[in-house]
Amino acid sequence: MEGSARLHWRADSSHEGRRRRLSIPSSVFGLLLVLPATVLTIIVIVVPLLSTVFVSFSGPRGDQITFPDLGAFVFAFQTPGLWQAVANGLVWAVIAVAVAPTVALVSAALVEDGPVPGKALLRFLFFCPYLLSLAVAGVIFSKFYDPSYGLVNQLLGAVGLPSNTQWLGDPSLALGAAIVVFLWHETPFCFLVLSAAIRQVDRELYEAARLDGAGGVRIFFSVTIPVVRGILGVLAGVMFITGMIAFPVIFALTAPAVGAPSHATEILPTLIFSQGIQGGNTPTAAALSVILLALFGVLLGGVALVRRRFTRA
Amino acid sequence: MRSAKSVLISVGTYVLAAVFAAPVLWVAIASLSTNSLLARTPIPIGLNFVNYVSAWIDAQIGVFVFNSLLVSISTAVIMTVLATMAAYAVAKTRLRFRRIFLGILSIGLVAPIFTYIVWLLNAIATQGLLNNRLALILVSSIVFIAVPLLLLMAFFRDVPGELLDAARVDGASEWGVFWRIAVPLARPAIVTSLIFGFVWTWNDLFLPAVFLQNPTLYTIPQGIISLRANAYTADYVRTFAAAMISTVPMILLYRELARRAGSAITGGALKG
Repeated sequence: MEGSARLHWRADSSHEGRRRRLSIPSSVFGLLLVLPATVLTIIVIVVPLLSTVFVSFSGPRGDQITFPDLGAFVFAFQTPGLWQAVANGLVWAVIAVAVAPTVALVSAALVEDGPVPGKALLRFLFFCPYLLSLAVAGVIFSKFYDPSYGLVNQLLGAVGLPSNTQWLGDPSLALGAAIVVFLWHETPFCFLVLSAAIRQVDRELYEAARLDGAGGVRIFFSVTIPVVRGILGVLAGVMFITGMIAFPVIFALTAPAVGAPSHATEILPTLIFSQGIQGGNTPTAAALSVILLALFGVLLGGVALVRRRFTRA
Repeated sequence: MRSAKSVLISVGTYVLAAVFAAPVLWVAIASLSTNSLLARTPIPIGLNFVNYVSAWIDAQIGVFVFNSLLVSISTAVIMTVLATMAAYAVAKTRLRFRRIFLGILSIGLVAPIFTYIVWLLNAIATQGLLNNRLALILVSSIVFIAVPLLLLMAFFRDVPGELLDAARVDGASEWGVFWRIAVPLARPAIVTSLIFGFVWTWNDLFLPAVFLQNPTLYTIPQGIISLRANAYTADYVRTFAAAMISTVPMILLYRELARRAGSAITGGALKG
């Protein structure tokens, strides 16, 4: 209260005598403030997005006048690896949602509520992967996965297991290897958020539960989870979205042959990248972009519907 | 009995933590090793600080760090200024059509960059703005703006309207109300926006990779990927040293990140 009174006084004194000249209506002032960001957003996102949608319906070369022409979609659906890309994105997203927030929640509860010494150190250890960017984590793991010199095969060899696995070269292993990098990097992000959330819970809640005779597991399910449920929902959403479009991992692991081997790590963004940016095939890439947008729209719309159901019930 | 259980839980927690921390600690060790040692043993202990010198100078990581600092700081500042202004306009002025403005500004939440990048890149290229850092900075500021905008709006909404009205009655201009009263009250959100704007662009690969094709302009993730791309001349220890260099700002910002992560992802929609 004291602070606001002081601010109040400053505003008063510094504008003494200029009040007439500077008075513009609040609505005009708001417009002036909102316009820079709005104009830039229209240039950077809205117009490119609408153009992409328009081009995708303008035929295989993007120049048909008879609108709409679905030629570009015909090509897009024939793009090698398309269905694999869609499936990979969904698999990736589902695994990300299932694993990252769950492991992070258990870890955060153990660190924050468990009878564990060295909480500050533990928080930093859990955060470590997030010190690297997702792309750099990919580069590091591409070294770990190297079939002849990589750490993974070295360690397997040291305990007498087969040590010549082509982690990124074998189509049946590459996607899993890439998802592991993603989970390793994103679980710490969920941990960061959840441990902060748990720390903000009123300690008295825990004390009360303990006095009632609740053990650690019981407290986890009946105090911690209800309190962080909202945050968990947001994290699940973030993990789903980032999991669907985890381009940096794949780029770092497989560039310049993005999506290799034989489309095993292909996702829609890598197809858009190789068709539109590396290949210069704008109409097909535009159609692929619209497919991605539609997929996002359907999934986000579905989630919103389900949530409305739940909150109403 | 009880303490035995505690010990077991502690050990388990540390093992779990090690799963996450070990690869980074290993990279830290390997960044001081030699390539020949790396090929022979899983625990390549050495003290070759020359890798860092080699990374900084020969592999141009020093240049990339400078580039990244320039791009990340500028993006954080521009994004935060734009977001603060827009958030105040939507939350606290008599702006008309505010739903439309809000819809446009938060479109990035439903349309990921990959859905419009092809056309955006076309536009950038035809305007001759490839390899133009200012273009990258403006684009990044907009691409990342949605969440900070929501966070700032949540803060401005909590500012009581009577406080602003009192200042108006006392003769403050609209600008004075915004700048001297609302902005100081939203300071925590502004700092969060600056920090996360910096971190997101420091770590971003995609936008720089698309817009900056001139190696002298590369940001640090791009630079490290380009080290990896020359697989045949691969200097592993140098790449690891470069990766460790890239973590320095994150280590410096660790405390603030830990404190602010919650509001940064939920856009202030959930307290805590």
